[in-house]
Amino acid sequence: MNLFKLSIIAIAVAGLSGCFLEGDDGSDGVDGVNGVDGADGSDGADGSDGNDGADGSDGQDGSNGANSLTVQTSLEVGNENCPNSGVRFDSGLDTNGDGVLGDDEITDTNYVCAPGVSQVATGELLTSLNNDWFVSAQAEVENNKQVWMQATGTSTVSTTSVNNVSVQAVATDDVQALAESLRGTAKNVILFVGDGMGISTVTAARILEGQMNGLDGEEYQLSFDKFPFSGLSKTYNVDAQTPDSAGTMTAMMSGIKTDVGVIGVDEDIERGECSTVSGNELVTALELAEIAGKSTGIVSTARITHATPAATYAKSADRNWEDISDMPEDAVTAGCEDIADQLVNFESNLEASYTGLDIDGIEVVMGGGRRHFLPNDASANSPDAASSTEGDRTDGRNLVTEWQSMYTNGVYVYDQSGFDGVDTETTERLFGLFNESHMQYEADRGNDIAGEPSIAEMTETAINILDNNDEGFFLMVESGRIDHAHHAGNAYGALHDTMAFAEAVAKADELTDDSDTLIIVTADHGHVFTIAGYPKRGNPILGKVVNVGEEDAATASDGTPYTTLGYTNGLGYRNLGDETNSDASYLEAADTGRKDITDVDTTTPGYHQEALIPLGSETHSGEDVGIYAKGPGAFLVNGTNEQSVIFHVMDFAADFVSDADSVVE
Amino acid sequence: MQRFSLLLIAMFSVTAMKTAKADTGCTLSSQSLKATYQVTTTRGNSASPATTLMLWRDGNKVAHQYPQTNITETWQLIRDTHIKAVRYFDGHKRAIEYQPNERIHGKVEKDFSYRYQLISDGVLAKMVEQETVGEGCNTEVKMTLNDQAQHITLTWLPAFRLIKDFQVEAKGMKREWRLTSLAHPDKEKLDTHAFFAEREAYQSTDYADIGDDHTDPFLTKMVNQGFIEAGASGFYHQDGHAIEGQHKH
Repeated sequence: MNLFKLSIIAIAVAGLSGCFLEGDDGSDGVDGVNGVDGADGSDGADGSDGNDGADGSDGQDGSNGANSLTVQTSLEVGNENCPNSGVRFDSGLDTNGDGVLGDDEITDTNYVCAPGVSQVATGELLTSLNNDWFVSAQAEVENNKQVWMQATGTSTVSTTSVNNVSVQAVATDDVQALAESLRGTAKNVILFVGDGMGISTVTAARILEGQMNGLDGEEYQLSFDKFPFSGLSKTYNVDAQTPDSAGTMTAMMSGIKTDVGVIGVDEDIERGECSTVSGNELVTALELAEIAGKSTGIVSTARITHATPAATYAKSADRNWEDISDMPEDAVTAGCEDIADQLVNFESNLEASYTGLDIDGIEVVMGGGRRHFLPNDASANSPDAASSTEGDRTDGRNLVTEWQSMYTNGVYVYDQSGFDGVDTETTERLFGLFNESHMQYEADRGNDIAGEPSIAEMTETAINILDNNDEGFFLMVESGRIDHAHHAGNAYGALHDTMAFAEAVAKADELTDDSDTLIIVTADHGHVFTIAGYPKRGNPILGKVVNVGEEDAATASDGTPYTTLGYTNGLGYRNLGDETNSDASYLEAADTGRKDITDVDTTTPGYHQEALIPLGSETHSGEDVGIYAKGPGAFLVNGTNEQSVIFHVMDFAADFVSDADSVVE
Repeated sequence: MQRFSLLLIAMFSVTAMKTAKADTGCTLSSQSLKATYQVTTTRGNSASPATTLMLWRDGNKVAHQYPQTNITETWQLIRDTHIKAVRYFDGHKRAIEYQPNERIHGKVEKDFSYRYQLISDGVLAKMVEQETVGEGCNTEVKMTLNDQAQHITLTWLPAFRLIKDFQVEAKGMKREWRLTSLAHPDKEKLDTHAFFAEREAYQSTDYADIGDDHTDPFLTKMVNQGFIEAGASGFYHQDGHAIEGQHKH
């Protein structure tokens, strides 16, 4: 469409150029009047004819005619005769010969108007056409077209012949058949979920990473910004306008939206009521991939039993049932299993759901959350335990040792050293629990007792193990702590975890082939996190607003500066700086509203942005989040979608359902 | 009180704290005890109601129990480098855990002595000893510190690494911690281990998870009233109501 409009505009420019005319020459003077003939002679005898009278002399030359003048006047947008701008041509005779076409001399007026709905004047348009931004965007459009054609298999159509008409010529049945032929062409599927990574978080992280690379920042692209396809995801839960991770991840993994707070079950569930689970369980993409014979993996920087990773493998009436000690007695008695138990026994549980099914279980599991797998007994503590008794389980079971007994070929690791020792070519199965609770924030990772791998390192190791299966793999990678840093009101932490997440995406992209691997990057929900004010280009994204053309921080009506980033609610301002001594700021109450930050360095890790509404924890937001995709089936990601569409895109790309059906039938 | 107390903080390593106990010949343990303090605060001529603080120790753990607010806070020293904080809401039998070294949730605590003794080794090192009286377990060291910011007087019990009487005056405010009783497991049949174990059995929530749960009434109340971030020295009751006269926000 853009190309089409530009064509019209270009034609208009050409037309306007032809109208810049010179004034016409004056017409020739009128010929002089012929001389009067001589009088006839009187009658007489016929005699000889008298002589003809002599020719009259030529009349005097006529005076020169008046010059004809044409004057052109540019017309601005909004002109009565040319609403979209243009040129008025006035013409007439310069009767008084003063070389100027006076109003009383105009005998004819014509207009050449700019066509269509263009809002730009001629000069501005020419500027645009030669502008680098304009040209690069034009090239991007062309590139997008090529990508789309490659994705849909129409790349053989030459570029020059592709316009609205020719594309329509191969539409309908042919294109639909073509698109359908792409079903199942993804051997591998990787779903990246940035927990709480709303649009504003992506934008701010992009700017921060750009600025850390010496750029202004706004022009920078995170790894997934470069993906060719993107769309929006509507995140609401069935019973909640602003969602939580449990309901949203269930939607992405099963294709079915459900209630807030529940895992892997549909909206007919009653949260916290074990008896309502049965019959409402949903099948997930990970389960389908497992049944289809692919390798499967889960990576998270949160506890691996936390809502987002749990929704890949568990069915639970409550997201908080991470281990048996978290469950009400009647739920245990009724036979509901805690989430950690479901992870370790995933293979047998899934096999029990389908007669004759034989799968090999999840190959890669890495994250935090050891407390839910270990008994409430100090003797079961990990060497790097951060509590006197690390485990929470009250049933005496040690699910780590159970897993090791179940998978004698598996490798269990709990720290950086063990992780570094994993041989991805010989390791068939990996279980990594790197923290008692959530793994560290990226900004704090260096403080961990025994060291933890980064999300990029975990992603790399996971892929290198999973891709040993010729049938392909499904991998889910969650950056769980973006969400937590936002809840704490700390943009620094959220953005640094987002950057680490983008690095993991880049690593996955590097290790896989676009021709057989679908990568989707998205978020489960956003946060009430804003980028505001009118900071100038390149202004530090974590800094105070400095207006365009200014050097000093702008001030609000209260006379004090303000930051670009902020939160609508939460704990509000804190200035913890880089200090690491004994001031336990968490002992202080919420401190919302305006603060005088004139002398505060707001770019430090410990700075917490101001908030409007005082709450003990900043909240999720209800707006859409982005979906970014590349690889087979990625072209289906566009427009504004229900969040559950993500499952269907993955299913289209890998044909999970059909492949799984062929196994269980 | 919290901000006022911060004046006392000095950056001293946890290792240095270990050297603070003098050899008095006292055979009673300094690592397992319950010390009860009466805390009074005066601003000008206005005195706030006295509050009670019970300091519990059990090995590498220390607790500050505030009976008026039904809140107990504990700190555990891990590997001499990490400090894990937990806040217990005793009336609800619920706990909020703070992971060690999470800067995003607050400055990382490195000075265990401040929690363990109510005064940091750093401040102790700066104080001027006036006199020492008594012997053995009853040894008392009287110390003072005067600088532009504050005036501190301290009666220190080196055998137990406890303050007996501690007065701080600054900016028109005076606060005093006065030891009213001291109990030991051997002497008074005190079970400090049980005190901590009882609380460790509470339903616990990681601080990072509070914002994710919309339905837990206890957490929802915390989020809405914000008192999860208060507690501490007891400026808020466990139900989120501010204690009058203690602190203004």
